[in-house]
Amino acid sequence: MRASLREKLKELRKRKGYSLDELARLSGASKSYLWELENRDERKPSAEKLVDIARVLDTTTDYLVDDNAGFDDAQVKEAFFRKFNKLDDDTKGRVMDMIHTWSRKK
Amino acid sequence: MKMPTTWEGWATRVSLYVREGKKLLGQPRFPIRIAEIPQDYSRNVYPAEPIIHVEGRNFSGKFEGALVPSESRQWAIFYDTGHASKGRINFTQAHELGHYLAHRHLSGDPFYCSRRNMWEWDSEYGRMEAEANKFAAFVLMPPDDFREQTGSFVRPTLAEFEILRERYDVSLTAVVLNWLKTTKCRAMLVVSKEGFIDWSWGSEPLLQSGVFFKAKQITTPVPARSLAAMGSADGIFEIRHPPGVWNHREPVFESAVFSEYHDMTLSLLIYPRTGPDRGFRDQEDDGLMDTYEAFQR
Repeated sequence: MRASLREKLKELRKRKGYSLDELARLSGASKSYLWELENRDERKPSAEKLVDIARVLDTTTDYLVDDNAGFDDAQVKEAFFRKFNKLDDDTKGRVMDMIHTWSRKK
Repeated sequence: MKMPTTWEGWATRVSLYVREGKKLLGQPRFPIRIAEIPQDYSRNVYPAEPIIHVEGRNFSGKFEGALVPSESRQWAIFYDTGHASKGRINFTQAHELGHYLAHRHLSGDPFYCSRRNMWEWDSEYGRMEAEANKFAAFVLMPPDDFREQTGSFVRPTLAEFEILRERYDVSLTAVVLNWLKTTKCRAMLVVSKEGFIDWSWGSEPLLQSGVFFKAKQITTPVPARSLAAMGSADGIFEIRHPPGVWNHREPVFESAVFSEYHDMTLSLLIYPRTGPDRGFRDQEDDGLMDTYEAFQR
């Protein structure tokens, strides 16, 4: 299942049992910078810092930075979606499946 | 029957329908569980294009809900059951019903089909989202009852809102925001995660006195001596802070709720009735900024 950088960072950090303070100390990034990466979509990481963070979390920068493909607008044009455009593709796909199953029954 | 054309009109109508319906059935007025309403209600008001399906599925809280038409212009409400807060699900369902009643006719409009003009799309979308939220708040927490329940609040704590949360079956956040919308108190809700402010919302009188945070723009840690920073381990959930904790020159009364879910902390801050003398404001004060800037948010 696909996940955003935010989700992956938080998940990997929690798995390691690190607090933000600990990850900050180990990676050399500031605590507020790490918090932004985990909680703000707009925050784009610097490649240099991400290398250090990935190292501490025993992962790769490639895994952390995974592009989400676009979504077919035509499919959603008749629906009002809340937060829909922010969803990962897997969840978007499952939502669309649910809707298609319903509308085929008609 | 003449149909309302605004979210307020619909909210008033639905609210009345629920109140009278419950009276007929001999049931208490609250809490209002929206899931029971859309199908019957929509068949009553729009028999040609009713809501015929309401379905929940677990999307781990990533998805809120959607209102979807079929080709034959019948409608369905889908929602995410994966939220830790059941009240939030109730609110989402009311939100989607609001879209159905107030915005349904706009769907399929070129405005929606085309994303070419993102700015317009965004602002129209944003307006409808806000209206659907107001509809949900109105129907689930009707103003007449809400005023009665909160009339005696002078320096409320989150524990008091917890009682209202149960009464209305909404989230704690929704019930506090509903109070902040109309209160004359200088008050603010601060939602923080792991020591930083995620977002905050202040009452109008507080905003007008120039007190607010710009946490969306500037990553802002919660004050070291606040309950939000200390966490639940100390077992303290209410405290009166001297000046210099949440605000440079004002004492602030803080009550806090710590939620395991998403490491979220809710702090309700109550400031003194009258604000600090604006003549002595200094620009370095992180809790006090120009009101003009506030409206630029």
